[in-house]
Amino acid sequence: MHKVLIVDDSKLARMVMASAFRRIRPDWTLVETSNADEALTAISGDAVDVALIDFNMPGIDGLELVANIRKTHPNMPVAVVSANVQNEIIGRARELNAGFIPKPLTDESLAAFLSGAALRLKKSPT
Amino acid sequence: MSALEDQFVAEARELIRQATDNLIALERDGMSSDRIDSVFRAFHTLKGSAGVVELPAMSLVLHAAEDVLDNVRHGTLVAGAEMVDAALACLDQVSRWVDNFEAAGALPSQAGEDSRAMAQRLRAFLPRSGDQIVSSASDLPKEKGQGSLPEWVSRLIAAERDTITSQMPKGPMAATAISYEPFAGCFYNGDDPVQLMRQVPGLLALQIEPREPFGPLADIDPYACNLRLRAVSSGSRDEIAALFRLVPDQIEIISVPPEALPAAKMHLGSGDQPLICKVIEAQCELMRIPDRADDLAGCIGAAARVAENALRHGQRPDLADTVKHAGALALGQRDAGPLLSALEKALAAFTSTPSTMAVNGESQAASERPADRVLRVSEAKIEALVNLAGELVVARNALSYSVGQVERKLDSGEVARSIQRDRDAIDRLVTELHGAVLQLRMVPFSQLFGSFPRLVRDLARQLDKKVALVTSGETTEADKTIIDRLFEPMVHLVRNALDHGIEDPGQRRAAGKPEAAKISIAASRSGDRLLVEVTDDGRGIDPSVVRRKASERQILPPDELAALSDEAAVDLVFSAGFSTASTVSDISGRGFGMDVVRTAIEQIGGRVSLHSNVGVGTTVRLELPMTIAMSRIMVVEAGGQSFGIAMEAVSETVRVAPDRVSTIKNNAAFVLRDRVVPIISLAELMKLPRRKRDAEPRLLVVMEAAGRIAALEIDAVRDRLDVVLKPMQGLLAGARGYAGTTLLGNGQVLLVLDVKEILP
Amino acid sequence: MTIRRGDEDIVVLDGVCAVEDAETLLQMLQATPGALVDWTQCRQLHTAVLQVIMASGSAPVGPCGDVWVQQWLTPKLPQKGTAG
Repeated sequence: MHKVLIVDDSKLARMVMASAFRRIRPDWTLVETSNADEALTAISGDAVDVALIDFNMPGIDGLELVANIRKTHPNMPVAVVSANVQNEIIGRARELNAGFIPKPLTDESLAAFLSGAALRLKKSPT
Repeated sequence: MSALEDQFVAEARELIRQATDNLIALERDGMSSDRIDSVFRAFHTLKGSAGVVELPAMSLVLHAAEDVLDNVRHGTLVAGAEMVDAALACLDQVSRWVDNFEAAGALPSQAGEDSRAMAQRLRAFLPRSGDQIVSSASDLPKEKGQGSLPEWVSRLIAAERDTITSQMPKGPMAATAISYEPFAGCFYNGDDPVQLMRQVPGLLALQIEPREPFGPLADIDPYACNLRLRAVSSGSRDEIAALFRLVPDQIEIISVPPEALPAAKMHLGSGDQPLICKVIEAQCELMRIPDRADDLAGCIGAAARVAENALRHGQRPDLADTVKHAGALALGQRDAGPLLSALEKALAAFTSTPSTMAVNGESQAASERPADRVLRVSEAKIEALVNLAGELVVARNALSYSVGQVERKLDSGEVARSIQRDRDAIDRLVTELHGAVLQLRMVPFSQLFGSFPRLVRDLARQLDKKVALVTSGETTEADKTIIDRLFEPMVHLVRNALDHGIEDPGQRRAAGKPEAAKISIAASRSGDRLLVEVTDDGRGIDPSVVRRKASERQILPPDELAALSDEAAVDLVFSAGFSTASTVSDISGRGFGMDVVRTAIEQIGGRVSLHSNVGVGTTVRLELPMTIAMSRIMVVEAGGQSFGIAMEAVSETVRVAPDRVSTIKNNAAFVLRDRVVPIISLAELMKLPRRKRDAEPRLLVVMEAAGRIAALEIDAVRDRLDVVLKPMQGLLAGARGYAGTTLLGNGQVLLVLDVKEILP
Repeated sequence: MTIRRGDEDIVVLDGVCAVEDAETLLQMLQATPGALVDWTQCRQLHTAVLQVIMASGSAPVGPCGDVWVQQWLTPKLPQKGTAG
């Protein structure tokens, strides 16, 4: 059982994510935030294991947020979630050792990332 | 609607508003990267949301708009007025669709067509329209020049020669070669390279091999991917690139011309057919093994599943279903028989008929999940709650009445004091409850103001005027009913201000004013009333012009007109049939004047006043009740019966000596501050006996509504109450002249007069 | 449980074999060198599990229940065991 941070400025997107979690990993706990600042607060204060971050957010974008998280959590499983499937974004996510999940979100893509995340957590618990 | 769909509607509206505001600001204040980013983000998120609720038509237009805005963002396109028009029109379309979706759960049938037309309009702005400058195309991994195929491609084709020819249905064709070397850590990111390969369309050949030879089993890291996958596909390069779009850095895609492929052999049937037969045969064998009592259930279940999958893969969902049911039957009977015979039949059917493309009828069950748990209350339920709370207020009034009677009987004893104390407690609670319930319907003015920036922008553009809109008091809250009903009158006021109030930029310059005019809309609270003011810094209303128009239109006789103060003359713009516009314009010449505004505001218990300075500007002030659930009424008596009159129509109560009343042709009237006010006897109106008291002063209630005035003659004023007005029901439903009924403290039903119907 | 020990030296892959099963399979194969892998009841095979099978150097028993794997990948693996 892990704690997952969902960062997306769209409540709808968070709902879609949460409902996918109820199907795929009903026992994992979710923390939702709508921007990067809240996300960093949540990560510093909470035992967050996995983070799913929307790329397209006002202010600090998803990749900048991942870069920030990496400073303190080099091994945390993190995925950038975005409908902008562009090589540049995927490449930068990869450089930051983050996964990439395309929007619209499918159970398959989320489940795949989460099983990878579970593996990583088993290998090196945060 | 599901909670998800609700959220979509709410969020879409917010995004549309955000995009609209920022587009307008962009046009007004010029390009700014923050603004354009915000507009782009709103469109982008909207597009994504439309995808979530599966509205492809909406996604299509938004995608086109997004492409246009992306160009603006990157400086390859300038956001001119026409482009902003198109983007706003796109938002209008999307907004209508959101309404349709909310109402009907779907888009109208012509949405597809509208969507294509709108997308075309938007794409016309793209530099070199028709060129593939859409994101996906520019993102494709670089293609190496044809003619000289990389060595691995030639080797792959040579090695897989037989497989390729057996898979090619009709001779050589163009193909695509794929080399995929997943990162060592790819499993941790959730990648499953084999899964990706499964989805390659028109697979002709596949190779999988370790990149580095595997070491001894003891040293293997199971999660370090050490594989290389190569494939040949009949799919197009674009299809393949789209499939591998998430691993662009790990993939090489090469187009293979037909001549580079081996010649095809003709073959019959589906390529998978022999294999599927083999799988089903194996399951049959399994079922034929006798005496497997201990693990029979497991075997039946597994065999049925495997065969079912194989049949689905072979495009025979019908056979797959039969096998599935037989498996369930076999499990139930703990006997392999039913499954075995179903498998044999399936095998026969599968080998004798070519595979059919029956792919429909997929189970819906998987998508039917319990709805998300979000508390959502319908407006009707809130309305019911508001009514109940209102009734409670009435019951409280009744209690007060009873307590009063008890007090009088008990003559201030201990019991009376205790009852009084309890009544006070209930009083307080009921008041609080009523307030809290009404809060449920309170919405901020921002909901009302939201559409005005757009309106002002469009009108200003149409009229070639420059206008800045300033709003304040967005957080002021009012009953939803009030906000809803304020919309139209407000639109009209703003239109009027723009059309008639504000001068052309040239005129403004000449008058020494800044070219850009200002319209402000402000909402505020003043005690228990709401104030909404629409102010412009335009030319103001000239009383002499109003007088001239009023006399042309015969609104008042010339002598009355002459007697009016300037203030009162200006007020005539609210008279029916008055318009100060010298030409009927497209903007406000739509068949209703300011009189409609006054009527609409008075209908919700408000008042309209206007203040104007020539050359400086005009302010229209709306004074409104906070809520229209409660009405303040005056209880009056006439002919021995009680009636209610809404206080909002009552301007004053006067006693008039009989000699001040003059009778002209059976119609009584008196003069009040230089105004002739007709007198109507309420008793006579209600066909009740009229009290004869010729010498006594008469008690008159002066009522004003819709610009008319009259005095109602009554016998006595009994009370002033806050009541919940109920519409006329039952036998009284058709009765004219009544606004409704209310229950009084003593249980009596009080008829409340509809002043507008009574006024002459 | 998608990977279990069958009779004696047989490891059975059953149903969907996901990424996390790769480690379980590897441990079983490391514990019992030369063990056979029965994948006839495997419905879907993850790349990581396939990689462990490939690294073990021994061919699994019988046709793979994952039809796609059976068609495209089994021919690429060293042939050893047969159905039974």
